[in-house]
Amino acid sequence: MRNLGILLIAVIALMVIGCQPPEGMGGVTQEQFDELKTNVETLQTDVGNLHMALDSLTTIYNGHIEKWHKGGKVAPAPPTTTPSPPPRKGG
Amino acid sequence: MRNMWIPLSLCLAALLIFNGCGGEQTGEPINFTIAATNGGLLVKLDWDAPDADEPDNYIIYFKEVGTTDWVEGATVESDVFTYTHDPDEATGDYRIAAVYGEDEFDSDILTTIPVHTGAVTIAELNAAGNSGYGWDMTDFMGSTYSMTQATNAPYVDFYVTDFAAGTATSNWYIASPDLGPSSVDSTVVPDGNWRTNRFSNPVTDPDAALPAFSATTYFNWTNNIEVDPTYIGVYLTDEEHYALVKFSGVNTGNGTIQAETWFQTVQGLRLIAH
Repeated sequence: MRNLGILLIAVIALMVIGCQPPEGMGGVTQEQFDELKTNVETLQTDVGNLHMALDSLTTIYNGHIEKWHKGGKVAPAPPTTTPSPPPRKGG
Repeated sequence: MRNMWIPLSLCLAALLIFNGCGGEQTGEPINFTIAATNGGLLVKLDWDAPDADEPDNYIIYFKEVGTTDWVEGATVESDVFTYTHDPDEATGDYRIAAVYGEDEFDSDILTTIPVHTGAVTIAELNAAGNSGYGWDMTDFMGSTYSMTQATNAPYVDFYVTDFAAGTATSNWYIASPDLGPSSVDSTVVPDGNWRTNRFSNPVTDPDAALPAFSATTYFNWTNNIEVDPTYIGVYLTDEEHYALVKFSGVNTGNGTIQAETWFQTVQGLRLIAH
């Protein structure tokens, strides 16, 4: 009877150990991943908005220079933005 | 009295002959339809017998796009109501004639000639003007649409972009509308039920049959459409129709390009000769 009790405890202990996630694999939950995805998308939108605001500001500034400070130094043209298309998918 | 019977008999005989007593009832083939077959390169014609007597046979007529004369094709027996035509990549008009002796009675005329929409101006996504383009599924004519309105989502079949802020002077793309809200273009294109369509690589012969739709022939975008002219095959994934777009006359100053299109109204037919 005692042996049976020891065996049962051993089996339960092994099951508990076996159910633990491998080291380093239990760190990121789906919620955290979704949150990260949302953050990246927000950042993408923010960068796009910043680009548009900068273009608008540059146009206004250059207009002001042309009108009130003839020969003044206008803002340099922004560097050509590199196209960033999504991956090309077939079918 | 006997003299009266001769003219009376003659009159009766004439009546019998000219009144068509026991004469043939003629009519044209009905319910004529055309459909694509054999991977979209052949045209299958189907019809029903005239609502009249059985004709001697049927003749299939074809008038190729750009020509004026009907060409007599195959003759089929009176109990055959289908025919598959190989137009050798040409498009054209079709009709079926029911033959009664020396007379022919024609069905409706159906066509595989694509519907043409003349050149319209499309703006790169960040330039002023409409960047979207779509075909009406009732008259198959194309129109431009704004990509900034989610209410336009069901009508747009493609849009023009450089996938960057501002308007670049080169490397413009024809893109599937659903890429708008999920790419850098999301700063302009709002979320919505935008359509998913596919585009071929540039085609060299605008009158040749378009490539068959597959994962290796049609893509979610194709670039360098600013090269004048550029012809792109379009496949509408929901309706399974093919179309051809010609891009030309790019204006990098105001960020616009001209688009002229040909839409194949027969579902699944890849023929686009015009």
